[in-house]
Amino acid sequence: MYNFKKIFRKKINWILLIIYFSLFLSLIILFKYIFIIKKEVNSNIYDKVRNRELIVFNNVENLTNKLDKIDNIKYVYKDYQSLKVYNNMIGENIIKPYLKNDMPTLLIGSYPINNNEILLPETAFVNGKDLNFIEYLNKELTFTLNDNLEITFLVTGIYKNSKETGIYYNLKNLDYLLSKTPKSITNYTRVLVDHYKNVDKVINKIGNSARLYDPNGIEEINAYKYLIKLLIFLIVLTCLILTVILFITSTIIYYENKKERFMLYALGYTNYNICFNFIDYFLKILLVSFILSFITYIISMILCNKFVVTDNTVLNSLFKIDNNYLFLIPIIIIVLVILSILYIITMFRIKLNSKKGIEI
Amino acid sequence: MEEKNTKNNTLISLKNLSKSYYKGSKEIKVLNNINLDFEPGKFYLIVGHSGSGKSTLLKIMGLIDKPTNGEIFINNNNVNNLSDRKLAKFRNNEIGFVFQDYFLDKLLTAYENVTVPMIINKEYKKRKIVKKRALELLDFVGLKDRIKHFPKELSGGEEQRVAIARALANDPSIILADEPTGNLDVESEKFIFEKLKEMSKNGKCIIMVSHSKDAINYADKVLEVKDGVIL
Amino acid sequence: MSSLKITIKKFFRNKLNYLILILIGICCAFSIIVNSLTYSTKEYYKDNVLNWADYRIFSILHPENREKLINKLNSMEEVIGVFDEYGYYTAWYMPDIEEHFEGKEITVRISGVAGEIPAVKGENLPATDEDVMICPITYRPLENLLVENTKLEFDLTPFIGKEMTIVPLESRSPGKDDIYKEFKIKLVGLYDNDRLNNFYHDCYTNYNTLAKIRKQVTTIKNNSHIYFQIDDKINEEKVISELKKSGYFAHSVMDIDYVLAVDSFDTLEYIGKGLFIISMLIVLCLFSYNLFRNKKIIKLNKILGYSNIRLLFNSIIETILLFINSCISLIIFLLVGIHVFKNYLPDHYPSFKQINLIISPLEFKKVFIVLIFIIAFIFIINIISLLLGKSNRKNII
Repeated sequence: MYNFKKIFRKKINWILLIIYFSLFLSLIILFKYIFIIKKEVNSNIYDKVRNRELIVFNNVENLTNKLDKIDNIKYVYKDYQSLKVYNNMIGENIIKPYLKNDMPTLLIGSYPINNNEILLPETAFVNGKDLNFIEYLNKELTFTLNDNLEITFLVTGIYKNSKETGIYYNLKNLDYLLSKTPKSITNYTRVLVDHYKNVDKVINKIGNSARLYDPNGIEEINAYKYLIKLLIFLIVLTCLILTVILFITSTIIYYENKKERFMLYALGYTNYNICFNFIDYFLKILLVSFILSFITYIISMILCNKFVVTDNTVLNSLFKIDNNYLFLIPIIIIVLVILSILYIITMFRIKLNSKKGIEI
Repeated sequence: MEEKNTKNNTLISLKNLSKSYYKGSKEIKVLNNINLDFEPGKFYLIVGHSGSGKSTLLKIMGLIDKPTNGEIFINNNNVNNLSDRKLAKFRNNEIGFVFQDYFLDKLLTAYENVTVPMIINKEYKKRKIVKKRALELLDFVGLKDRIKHFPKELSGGEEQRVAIARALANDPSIILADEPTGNLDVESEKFIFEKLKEMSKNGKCIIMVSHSKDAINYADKVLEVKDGVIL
Repeated sequence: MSSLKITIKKFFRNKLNYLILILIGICCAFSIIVNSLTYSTKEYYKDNVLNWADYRIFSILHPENREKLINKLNSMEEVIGVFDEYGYYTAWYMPDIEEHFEGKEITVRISGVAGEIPAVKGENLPATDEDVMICPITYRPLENLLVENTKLEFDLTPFIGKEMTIVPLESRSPGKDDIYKEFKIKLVGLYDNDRLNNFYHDCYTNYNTLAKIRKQVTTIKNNSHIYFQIDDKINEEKVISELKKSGYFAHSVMDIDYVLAVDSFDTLEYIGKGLFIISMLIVLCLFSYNLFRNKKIIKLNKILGYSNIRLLFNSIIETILLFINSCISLIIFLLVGIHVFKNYLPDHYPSFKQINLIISPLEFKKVFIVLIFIIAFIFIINIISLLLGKSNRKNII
C-alpha cells in the first residue's frame, strides 16, 4: 500500500495534486451554484402564482365533476374582476386573493383566515408620500370596494414588501367578498395548480378551454431552466476533463511504474492486489486534492464573509456559510464511479500484460 | 581506430583528496586523504566492499562530483577551480564514462546515442565525419547491424556495448567504468573486459570499479579501497 | 546530426508528449468554450430576455396633473416612450389562420424592433412604415413553453405575404369595460429564431406599427393612467426614484425578478472566468511536468560534457516545440468542440438549440497570451535552475 509520505515525495504527484485540486474546486463551485439557483428559483420564481393559475372558459358549476377528479389542483374559484379598494389613509389598492402559502413573507402579525381579514404591505407610496402601515396592525379599516360598497377589514398582519404592494386576502373566502360587490362575475373559472410542473398535465385533463391566465412568466422560467441546463452541461464537461486527465495520467504512471509492478509480482502479489495498489495510489492523491479543495472553499467562504462586500445576492449566497454540504455528495459519487472504471481498465491491462509475459 | 599520442606521464593525479557528506549535523566521511596517480596506457581496477567509496572516487575523477578537500590534476591541469563550462569541455573531450545501468537515452537509436557527445565537439563539425566515426565505434563493439535499434530492442550486453562506443566517441584519454558488467552474463563480461583492455593497449587510461573476480586478470594494477582509504 | 535535430526528433518520438499535448489542447479549448459560453449567455439574457420591451414599461395610476407628468417623463432621457393606452395586451392570437391548424390557437407575442432581423423565408422587415411583421420559422404557441419537450410546432410559411388579423388574447376573457378591436398586419417573412436564440412565439414589427396596434386595438373608458417605456432595465431604479421625488409612484406592468436574474447570470459569467483560470492553471502544471520529466537525460548530457547553456538551449527548443504543438492541439480541439456545440448537441438534444456559442477572437487572444506567459515562466525556471546549479557546486548525480 502506498502511504501518503511516499506519494508526495515524487514531484510529479504534486503536479497531479494541483490539477485535481483545481478540478475539484470547480466542481464544488458549480454544484453549489446549481443548488443555490434551484433553491432560489424554486422558492421565488417557479411557484409564482401567475405561473400556475389557469383560466377555463366554462362555468365553474359545469366543471366541478371534472375538476374533482384531477389531482394537482389546489383551488378552484369563479373568475372575477379586480377588486379595487380605497381608503383615504391607505390610498387606492387592489385585493389579491391568495392561499396562505402563496402570500408574501410575514413581517409581523398573522395571515388572514376569516372573511374580514387582510394583510397589508409594510410601506406604500400614497399621495406623493412614502407611508408605513405597521401602525395599522390589529386595527379595523373601512374601505370602499369598487367605488360602490363600504366594507370593513381587520388588519391581521403586515408583510415585507419588495415590489408587492397589494392587499392580501384569503382566497378561500373570496366568494364572500364577491357576494358584496354588485359587479357581475364572468362565466369563467380559475384553477390554481399546485406546482408549475403540473400545469401541462392539468391543462390536458381539462381540455381545450383551459390555458394559463397570465403567460408573462414564461420567459423568466425559461431563462432559469436554460441556466440550470447550462450548469449541468458545464459540470458534465468538467467531469469529462477530470476523467480524461485521470485516465491519461494513470496511463503515464502505469508505464513508468513497470519495474515496481514487476517487483510486487515477484513478491507474490496477485493481479488484484497489484491493481488495487495502483488504484490506491490514485485514490490517495484524489482524496488529498478533494480535502484541500474543500478546505480552500471553506477558507474562501470565511474570507469572503469578512472582507468582500458585493451587491450580487447570488454571489453572496455562493460564499455564504450555510452548513449545507449536500452538494458534495454528487462529487463523491462521480469520483467513485470514475475510480471504479479506472480499476476495471487497469485490471484489464494488468491481466492482458500477464498473459503476454511480464515486461520490466 | 586512431591512436592518440600521449606522453608516458601521469594523466590523473589526486592530492589529499577527501569527500564527506552531511546528514543534518552528522558528517559521513566517504574518502579520506587519497593520493593517487594514474598513467595512460594502463588498466586500473578499483576494488572494495560496498560503501567503501569506490564509486564516489570514480565520480570525483570523472568531474561529476566535487571533493570536500584536496586537488585533482588532469593532464597537469588543476581542475578544482575551473568554471562549469570548462569542466564540461573536459568531460566531453578527455573523459568517457561507462555506467552499470548503461544510462542510454531511450528515445535515441544506438547510432544516435553514440553521436550525442560528438555533436557538441568542435572537432566533429562535419556530419560525414560524425557518421563515419559513430559507425566505426559501433563496429568496434560488434554492433554494426544494430545501429537503428532503440535501447529497449537491445539486450543488456548490447546496451553496454553501445555505452562503451559512446564513451569512446570523442577519443578521450580516460575511460571510467563503474561496475560495467554488474548486470551482464559471463560472455558479455568477457567481451567488455577484452575491449577495455584493448583500449588501454591503445594508450587510454582505463579505471574500472568492479566486483568481478575475472577483472583482476585484465588489470595492470589493483587498488583496494577500504573505509575511504587506499590500502 | 545536430543537437537541434536530435532534440526535435526526440520530442516527436516521445509518445508521452502526445498525451500531454492532448490534455493541453483539451484544457485550452475547454477554457475558451466555457468562457465564451458563459459570457455570451449572460449578454444574451441581460440584453434580450431580461430587457424585453414589456419588462421596461411602467404605469402611473391616476396621476395628478397629467400634463406635468407627461412633460416630466419626456424630459427624462431614459424614457423612450409615453403612452396613454398600453392595454397590457402582450399576447395576441390570430383567429383567421386557426382553421388551417385544426382549430389550435395560434398565439404570439409582438415586439418592436429597430434593427434588422434577417428573414430566412420571405422578406426582411422593410424600412417603411407599413404594418408588417416577421414571425419565427420554428413556431410554437405561447403556452406550450411551460411544457417540456413538446412537439407542437406549426409552419407559418403558407401565410407569408398574407394579411393576418391579430386580436389581444384577453379578448377571450372579456371584462365589461374593455372593447377589443382587431388589427390587420401583413406577415412578410420568417426569421431563424433558433439562431437568434429567441423563443418560439416572438414576432417583430417596427415601433410605429406597434404604437398603432396599442392605440387602436382597445379603448378603455375612464382610463386616466399614464404608461411609459424606459431604454434599459438597468435604469429602472433611477427613473422610479426620480419620479417618487416628484410625487409619482410608478410600477412595472410586467413583473420580473430582475435583480435575481441579473445576479444569477452575472455569477455565471464569474464562474466562466473562474473555470478559465483553473484550466490555464492545469495547462501550467502540464508544461511544468515536462520540466521534471527530463532530469535524468539532462544529467546524462551533463556527464557527456554538455554545458549548462547548451542544456538550457535544448530545454528552450523543447518548450517552444511544446508551445507550437499545443497551439495546433488547441485549434483541433476547439474545432471539435465548436462542431459538437453547433451541430451534434442541437441535433440530439433539442434543448441545446438555444445555446448560442460565439467565440470571439478576444478569447483566443487571452489563451494565447496566457500560454506565452507560461512559456516565459518555464524559461525563467530553467534559467534560475541553471544559475542555482552553477552556484551550488553540488554533484551532478
